[in-house]
Order: sequence, then C-alpha cells, then structure tokens
Amino acid sequence: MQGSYNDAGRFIPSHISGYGKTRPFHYEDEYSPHIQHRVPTRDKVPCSVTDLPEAISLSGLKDGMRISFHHHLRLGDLVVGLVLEQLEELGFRDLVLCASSLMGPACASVLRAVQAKVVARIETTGLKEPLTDAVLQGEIPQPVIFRSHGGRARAIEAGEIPIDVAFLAASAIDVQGNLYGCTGKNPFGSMGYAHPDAQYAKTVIAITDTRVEGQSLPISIPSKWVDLIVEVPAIGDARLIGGGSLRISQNPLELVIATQALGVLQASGMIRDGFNYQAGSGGISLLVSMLLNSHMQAHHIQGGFASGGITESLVAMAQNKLFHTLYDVQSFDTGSAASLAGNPFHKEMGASQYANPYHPGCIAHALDVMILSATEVDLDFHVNSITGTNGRILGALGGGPDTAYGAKLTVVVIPSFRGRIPMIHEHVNLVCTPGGSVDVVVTERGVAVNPLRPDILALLQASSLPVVPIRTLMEQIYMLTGRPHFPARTAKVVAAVEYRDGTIIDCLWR
Amino acid sequence: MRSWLYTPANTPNRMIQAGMYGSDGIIFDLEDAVALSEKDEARLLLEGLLPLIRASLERTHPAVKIAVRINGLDTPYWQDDLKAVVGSGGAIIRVPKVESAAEVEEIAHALSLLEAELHIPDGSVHLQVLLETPRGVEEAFRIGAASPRVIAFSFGAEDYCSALGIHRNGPRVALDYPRARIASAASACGIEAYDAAYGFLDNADALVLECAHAKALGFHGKSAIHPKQVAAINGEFSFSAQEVREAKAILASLEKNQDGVSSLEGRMIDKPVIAWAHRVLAAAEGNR
Repeated sequence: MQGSYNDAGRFIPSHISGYGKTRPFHYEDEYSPHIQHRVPTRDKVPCSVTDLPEAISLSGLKDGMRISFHHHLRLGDLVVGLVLEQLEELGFRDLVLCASSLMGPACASVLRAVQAKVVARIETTGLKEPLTDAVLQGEIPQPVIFRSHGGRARAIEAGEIPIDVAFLAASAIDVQGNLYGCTGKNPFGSMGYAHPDAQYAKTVIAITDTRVEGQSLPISIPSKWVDLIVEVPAIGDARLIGGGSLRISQNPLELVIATQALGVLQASGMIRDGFNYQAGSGGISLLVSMLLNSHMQAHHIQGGFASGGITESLVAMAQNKLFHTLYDVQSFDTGSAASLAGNPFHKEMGASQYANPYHPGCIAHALDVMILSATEVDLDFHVNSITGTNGRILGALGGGPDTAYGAKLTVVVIPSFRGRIPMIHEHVNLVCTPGGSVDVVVTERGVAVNPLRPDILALLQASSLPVVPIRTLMEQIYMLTGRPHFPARTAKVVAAVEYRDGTIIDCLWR
Repeated sequence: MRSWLYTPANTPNRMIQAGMYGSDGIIFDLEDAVALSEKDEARLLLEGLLPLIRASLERTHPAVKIAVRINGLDTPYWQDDLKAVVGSGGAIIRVPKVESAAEVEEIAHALSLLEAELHIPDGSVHLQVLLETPRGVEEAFRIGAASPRVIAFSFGAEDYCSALGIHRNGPRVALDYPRARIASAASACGIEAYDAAYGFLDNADALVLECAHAKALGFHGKSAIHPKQVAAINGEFSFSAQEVREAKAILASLEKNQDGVSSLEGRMIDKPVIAWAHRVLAAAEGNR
C-alpha cells in the first residue's frame, strides 16, 4: 500500500476508497489557510409541500448524491429514520450520508439503509451502536470519514463535500419559511450544526411537526436558505436531547479528576476576569463546569463567554453573570433550549463560526480554556476520542480538534483506567486531536504537562498538584493493570479521521 | 488519622482507586461487605492485590495508610484472613466486635506466630480494635492496654445501637456515653480513637454535625463508607487555622521563657497545654 507517515506518526495511504487522494496531516499546515471562508448569497422563496416523497422528488436527488442531516435532536431524533425509510421506498441507491453526528435511533436507521444499499458512505463526527460494529467489520461499502464540527463546516464551505440535499429538522417553521429550534412541540434549541448545510446545500428540505403563523425570534435558519417544507406528525422527542454523554457524573473518582482539573486551571492562572471557556460533553467535563461555577462565585470572577454545547448549568452561570455571553452551537438540554429563546446573553452560532479554522471570527480560536474528554491519550499527548484501546468505537470527534487547537489551555480529563483497561499508552489506537494542541492531561493519579508548555509546567510544579511526566504516569498505571494487548490490524481502512484543515490525521484499520 | 475509607475487598476496581479520594487511610473490608459465599475469593483477591496497591500508593499517595478489616474472632475465617493479610505485607488489622482483653491477646499471639514464620519483626503488625457492643465499650481500657499492638479504637455504632434497641439516627445524646468512654480509654492508653461510619449517605449536614460532635468528645477521626464523605470528615477533624496559630504561639512562648511555667495572653501554659500544642502541630504537619 502506498502512503506516508504524517506528523502524528501515522501511516496514511495515499488513496482511500471512496475518499480519493489524501493529504497527510502536518503541523505547519495548521497555520496556512488555503481556503478562504466564503458565504454564498442565496435568496429563495420556500415552497411548502405536503409530504416527504414529493419533496424528495422536487429536490432532484439522484443515486450517488450526498444528503445531510443534523443531530440536534440527539437521542430523540426521528427525522433520519423517516427520511432514509422514504429513500429506500423510492429506490435510491449509493447515497453519501453526511451528518453532523449520528446517535440514538438514527444509527439503527442508517445501518438499515446501508444494508438496503441506500447509503454507501457515511461522513460524520461520531456514531454509535449498532453502526459501530458494522464499521469495524467492514460492512459499510466505503470507509467512514470522521470530521470535527469545524472541519465539517470548512469542508462544506470549501466545496470539498458538496451537499446535494439537506434534510433539516426544525422544531417550528413560520409562514415565511423561517426555521426555528426553540419553539414548537419538540424544541431542541440551537440549529448551529445545520447552518453550513442550509447555506451551501443545493436543495434544503426543512422538516417540522409545528407550523406557526407569526414570525418570532430567534430565527435559526432564514427562509432564504430553505427550498422545501415538509410537515410530519413528529420530528422526534425533544425530552431525549439531554441523553448521550451528558449525564452529571455521580462517580466519586470523576469528581477527584474534575477537582484536579480545576486545580490546574487555578494554578495556571487561567480563571480570571474575562476568560473564555468551553467544556466537552463527557461526565468529567461537566463536573469541571460545576466546580468552576462555585469557584467563580466564591472569588467574584466574571468570565467572558462560554461556548459549544450549552447546558442548563452554563445558563445558570450566565444568569449569575459569571459569563456575559453563551455561544450555543448545540443545546444540550431542554432548559438551555428554552434559554436560547428568551435570554439575550444566549446566542445561537453556526458550526462555521464555532470552529471552522478559516472563519475570520472563529469562536474556538478565542477560547482561553478547553476541557476535553478522551477515550485514550498517549505519550505524545495525542488524544483519541473515537475508539477505545480495544479498537471499538465509543465516542466522537465532536469539536475536540477545533477547540483544542484554538484554546490557550487545553486540559484533557480522563481516568487512569476504565474497567481494567489503562487509558494512557505509548501510542493511542487512533489519533483524533494531535498532541501539539493538548497542554495538560489530568487523571486521578497525577497531572502530566506537555513538554511543549514549559510555562504551564512551571506554574503547576509550583502548586500542590501531583505533576508527573506522562511516561511515569503511564508506568504507574501499567503497574496496576499490566500492559494492554492492542488489537491486530489488517490492511483494510474502515474509517479515516480528517483533521480540521482537510488533511488525514489517522486511519482506523479493520 | 482523620479519615478511614472502607472499601469492600471483593471489588478490585474500587480497591485500586480507594486511595485516590483524599482519606488518610483506607480499609479493605473482608467482613460485613463480603457475602459468606465470597469470603475465600475476597481473601485471595486481597492477597494478590495488596502488594500492588501498596506499591502504587507509595508512588502516588505515600501518606495514605492501608488497613484490612478481618472477620471476627467468632467466625471460622479470621485466622485465614490474618495469614493472607500479613503474608501480603499488611501492617494494620482492624478487628471487629472485640469484647475483651483476652481476644486481643489471642490475636496478638496468632500474629506473633505469623511474624516469626514470615521473618517479620515481632510486633510490627498493629491492631485497630472495633468496639461495637456495650460489653466492648465497658471493657475499652483493658482492651487497649492488652497489647502494644493496639494502636486505635474504632467505634461501631450500628451494632451498639442494635444491642440497645435504639435508632442509629436518633437523638445524638444516646451515643454520647459510649463515645466519651471510648475516647477517654483511648487517651488513657495513648492510642487514637475513630468514630463510627455514618451510613446516611445523602445527609451531608448530619455527617458534619456528627464529626464535630465526635471531635469535641476527643475522637481523632472517623470511618467513611463512601468517598463523598471524606472531604467533610477531613475538614471537621482538621485543626483550624486559629488552633494552629494558637499552638505555634504556645510553643514560641516556651522558647522565650524557659524558666518553668509560662503564660500566654493570660493563660497558664503548663504540660497538658504544651502536649495539646504539639498534637495540633503534628496533626497539621501530617495533613499537609
């Protein structure tokens, strides 16, 4: 197999089936934007239709084209299943499915569509059971392409993944054809991940279960980006948007890790007036936010903005004036969805504004602190957030590579081991976020600082935190767990991870 | 030692992580936390894990002490437990439901035999004695004085309440007598006293009150049955910054006046006050 090793030390084939020629990841490329951010000018009059088959027919969709979805309804999504079932009935074949992520019932629907040959390729930031096994067993005809949220927005805007038809769930649509996420029978909040799809897709089919007469605010997607409107009995169940990786952890060990992480933020001097903050969706990350809330209140610190997926607890922090603005690309619970509709400090942002590396106002690049979850970390501080050590797909890229790159301090929070499987290795199974973007790894057994950040190392060493070299930390963990055996690889690529700039940072081999 | 966190000895994941929660000590429990049908498996597991966990803690949390609660002397398990613990390097044994000095002498003798067999210095394995019955409470001083191996008492309130037919969460005054007697006997024997674990996990306020009460009666610390109790226990059993300042001032006043009895801000500084100051500063140093 022809290919080369990239800057993450990974072998990248020069060509991936269904994807084409690859560009291996290089650190220096991160700083040289070769694609300029552009916003298309479209001005359409949406046409209301009665049902989905007619909309599909009017969209001009053909076999082999690319369709897209957002995942704002998370575990409560019914739209992906509804559309794929219809496409199967209409006899479509070999479509490319490009989703902002796949979770909950959507995954079973996509697998059915793959088995029915409706879908031949999947592009996403993450996927869950039962799709995961199908990917690893090579049941998807072409390799899955994982893109971060920022990378997906960039690729859409750059024309690298032209979307032919975007099927976008909206919780309500008004008579002018404007799309809302905050009102209706199933309000799910921000429609941020759908913005690039709406702006750049050749045809946008908006799907809702609620039509409203008058216009209200905030409009998530204006009617000028919408072609067709379909009304269905239910787009899903908004009560389930708080599922997935959004539990508030009751695990005492995770509280220990979160407490250490807060210690890192304090010792590094990052918690100060005006600091901008984001935490990922894992249980430990959410605990860090909870502890940060108490710390900021106790010390009368007012941050700048908090961004990314927004939770009720972040809304409460903003209400207490701990952050002046919430930039919401995705509402993580019904409370934050309601807040987006009513609170002036709570603003919806599109995926491109959030994390596109070439967006001039990229919010991720203005972050001071990013708390990142991971499934594995290695001695080069590379982070895996998709697969476990055993190679199974567990998580998603999310906005991890984008925010880690942009934040002044990126802290990975991770237990030393899960079950009996250690979480720090010489080499991760799959590189998702390059070590160059990661500053500190926090476990319950110690805190490791990337040697690229001697400034942070000096600050943490002057604190009472248990700072240890990452190799020492790994050896301490191995002392308890033993050295893990890694899964054998074949020569077949079942998935590729595209870095946010469009280069390939790693491949998942069958 | 302010806090001792119980962890069932048949849960390897929890055992490996037990030292991470900030308690001064951890207790692997072979007794109540392990079902009768799993006693042998738990003992085998503990025997295999104890050296690993100790070695790991020495690297990451060297101040954390490890104890093992064995099964009671009225069971057929305690001698096998003892062999497994001492054979795998355990140095502190928590013995449940002790009611007499004779029981301490029995286990101390068994330990001496084991130490000789394993070429461990005689007397190097220490005992924490659980006083859980009215009889054990009444015998506290004689139990503590029965062997130099005894380094601490621990109060077992559940069994004590059961024996008296009172509710564990009833009026606190009901347990004042056994607590005071245990704390006093511990002091008389020159050993530490740890208060009973508090089993109402969701009542954090009551835990804090119970800690404060036990500390006021002379206890050094308390057992915990969940990691989330540790911070409150440590907090309540730590000497306050004011107490540390006072202790430093007392010892500093001694250095200035070495002629005998001195005074500080109108308070006479004599031997017991000096001993208190040393205890405060030693505890503060140990808790760093």
